[in-house]
Amino acid sequence: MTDAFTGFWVLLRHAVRLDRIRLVAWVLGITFIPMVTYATYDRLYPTLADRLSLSVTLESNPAFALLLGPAANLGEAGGYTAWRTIVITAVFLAVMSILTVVRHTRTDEESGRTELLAAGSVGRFAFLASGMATAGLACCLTGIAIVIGLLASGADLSGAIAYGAAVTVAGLVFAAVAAVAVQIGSFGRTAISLSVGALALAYLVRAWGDASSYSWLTWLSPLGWTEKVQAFSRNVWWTFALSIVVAIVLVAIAVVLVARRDFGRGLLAAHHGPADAAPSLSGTFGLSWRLHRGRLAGWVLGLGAYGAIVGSVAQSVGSVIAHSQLGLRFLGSGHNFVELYLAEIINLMGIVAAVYGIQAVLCARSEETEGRVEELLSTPLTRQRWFGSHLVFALVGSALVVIIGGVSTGITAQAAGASTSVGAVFAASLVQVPAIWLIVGATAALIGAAPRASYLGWPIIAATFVISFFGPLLKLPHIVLDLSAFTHVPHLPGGSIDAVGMITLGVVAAALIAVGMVGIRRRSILS
Amino acid sequence: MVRRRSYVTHRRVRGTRLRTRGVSAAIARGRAGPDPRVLRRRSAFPHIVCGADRRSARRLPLSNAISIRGLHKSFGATHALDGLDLEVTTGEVHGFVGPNGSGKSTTIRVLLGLLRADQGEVTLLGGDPWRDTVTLHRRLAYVPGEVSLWPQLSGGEAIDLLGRLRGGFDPARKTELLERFDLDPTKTGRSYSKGNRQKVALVAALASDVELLILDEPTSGLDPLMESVFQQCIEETKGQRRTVLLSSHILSEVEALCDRVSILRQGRVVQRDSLEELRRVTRTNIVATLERMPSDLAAWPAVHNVRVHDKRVRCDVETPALNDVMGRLVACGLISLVTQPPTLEELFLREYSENAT
Repeated sequence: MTDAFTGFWVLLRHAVRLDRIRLVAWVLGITFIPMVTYATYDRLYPTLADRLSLSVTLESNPAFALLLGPAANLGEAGGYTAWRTIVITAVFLAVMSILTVVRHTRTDEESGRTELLAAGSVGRFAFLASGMATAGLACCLTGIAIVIGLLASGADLSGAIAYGAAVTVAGLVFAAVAAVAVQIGSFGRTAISLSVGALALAYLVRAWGDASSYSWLTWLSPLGWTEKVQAFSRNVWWTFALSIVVAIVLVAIAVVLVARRDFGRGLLAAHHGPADAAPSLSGTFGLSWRLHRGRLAGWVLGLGAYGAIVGSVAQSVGSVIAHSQLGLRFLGSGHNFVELYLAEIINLMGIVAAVYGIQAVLCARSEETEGRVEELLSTPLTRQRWFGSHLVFALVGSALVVIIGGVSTGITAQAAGASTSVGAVFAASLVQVPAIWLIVGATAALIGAAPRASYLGWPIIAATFVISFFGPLLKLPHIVLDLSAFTHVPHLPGGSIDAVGMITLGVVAAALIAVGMVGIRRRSILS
Repeated sequence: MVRRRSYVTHRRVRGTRLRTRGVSAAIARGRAGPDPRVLRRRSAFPHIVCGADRRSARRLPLSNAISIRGLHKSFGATHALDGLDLEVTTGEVHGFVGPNGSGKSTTIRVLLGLLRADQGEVTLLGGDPWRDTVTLHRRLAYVPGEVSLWPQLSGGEAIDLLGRLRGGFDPARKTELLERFDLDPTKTGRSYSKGNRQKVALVAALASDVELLILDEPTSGLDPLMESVFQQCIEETKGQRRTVLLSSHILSEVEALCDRVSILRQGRVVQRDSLEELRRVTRTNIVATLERMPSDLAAWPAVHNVRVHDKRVRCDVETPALNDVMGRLVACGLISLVTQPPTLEELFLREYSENAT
């Protein structure tokens, strides 16, 4: 049996080396969320009265339970942090685990790198084991970093450990989910879709269980178990056992499947396609449509569904804020709190749509690095046209994602009786578009002018997210806040439109896109 | 950066003398002129055209499909191309031979306008490959050495897409080629083996009606059966007066197909000639059985690597001195004789072993 793991340590060292920068970025980024939330609690709710009203208004509210899980012990920084961040932290950790496991197993197998190694003295299970171990290591590191971060923010030890351990085991469960998924799908993309689908299902089941009378549903979701730990209030340690048992069972299934399946194949056979291309596949735009449509559909559906959920609770959330002393004190009276809530949601959707836009425009870069563009550019096709065909999907697609998300939010909000209109929410999503395009344009400019640095699109959007959502809380200086494109987006519905800001965003976006276009025309194509 | 030469070309096409002045006219000819149509009509009678072309090829000054002078390209500190010269005559199959990393693919990428030349003159089908990319690409097809296909597309779809991007192709020709290469067009990009991915790119290139085929190690990964199908296809293009630049290190393939060969080494062409010409300047291998073994055989001029075993002698003779050496051997009472012209492999190995030291 030990033979089956021969080479494990070599592979693990190799994987960790390859991932060292990527995983450190993930770990630090994830740790940041609970740490900052804990550290800023005192500033947000300085008095006992604030904390009491927070507890009274939120702890029994189904709308917040739907979004974040049931609230408990909000009168303390720990309870508040656990309620506000534990599910979202667990989701980020799960995504990191899934991507790590798939990258080191199925993607390597698909590319043929595994074959090279498998011919050496490497055991059958060593690949899966090293991929799992890399993800597991990253999860544990994140857990430890979170504990340290929380302690540094002034949290008590047992609560910090409960929080850190709860998200760590959630990450491990989804690493195990990915371990099974890579046996099922023949390709990395399929495995990622399956695993992320499982994660989305876990989130929905938890949301449904938390917000309805079927509270037992929460117990079916690994994300539900992270909240059932009740970190910083009751610290229910035994729920970890659930996660660990499930992870072990899933790994066992994966091991059985590894032993049964052929190398390079999954349980889902690769499907066949048509022998001749449809008339629509006649040029670079037809090709881009084929390459982008699946991803675009996924994002549109995802944001549409999210919009439906957050819209349906808009009225409830708004009235909670409106009736709390807190809301009045922080935001002043005379606001439409439903609109404030919606503005915040749509702003978040704008940033999420920019993530899609970056992904879509980077598709052009991966066509180049994977060597497919050479064949295309050996035909009478200009580089600008080729690059433009991807850029169109990045620009129009990201606009579509935020608009569908916004409209879906508006429709359900209006249907649930919120004091807003679909039109107002639609307008709110529309004003996000110039800021989204600026970020897509920045990535396009990188691809054109500095192709090897085109991954910098990701840090840009991460920084934008941090500035937009934690900047005001952290009291960052104005110069820093202004760096985020979304700082210049009008707060709609409810706010006023700043035409100069919008036009500036649009002009900068256009200039960045032009830089990308000129760059792609002038530089060498490097694979 | 890349200077263009203005020149006048004369080509005889079906008795008409086409006179083209300068670069832009040459491109215009390719786009709208009578040439492609004429070529297509010609391809119906490959044998007749073939003979006629061979004769006219000797009489007329031929235009060059590819002409490169002093091409330099470096990537950071690496000098991939170091003053490369290459001339490919219209209508010929030109072998582009060299070991891994000698600059074959870099040259081809410059020719395709994917890489910008640092220095040197590059003319492709009478145009500048960096500037006139789109018009030139209407007239050529390319097969990369490492074919990467779209995971979302079937092989048949990829062939159609590339064909349509080149401005249309003959579906009957596609079907015929799919059959000859025994390729299943319904599999998706990711499930093809390396050889089958290569076939997809080959079918797409060969199905298109173009003047120039640029093939970068096109048979890597093909089995011997498919390799011979490929050779047949290239033989057929010779009859259609297409130009082929065939980069390869499978020397038997180059030997079988190419009219002329350029041998690359470290970013330069170190040998360039027809195969016969190359053979002439090199050595012929001889195995002779003699009645009397001459004692001074090793000292004979133009004779190398003498190995005597009893009455048998094995040696390499400089080909121009063959007649002289034969006379001396006959004088020694020749019983049996086997001569072997040098293979490209030997030329190749000699070129590298000599230059490497």
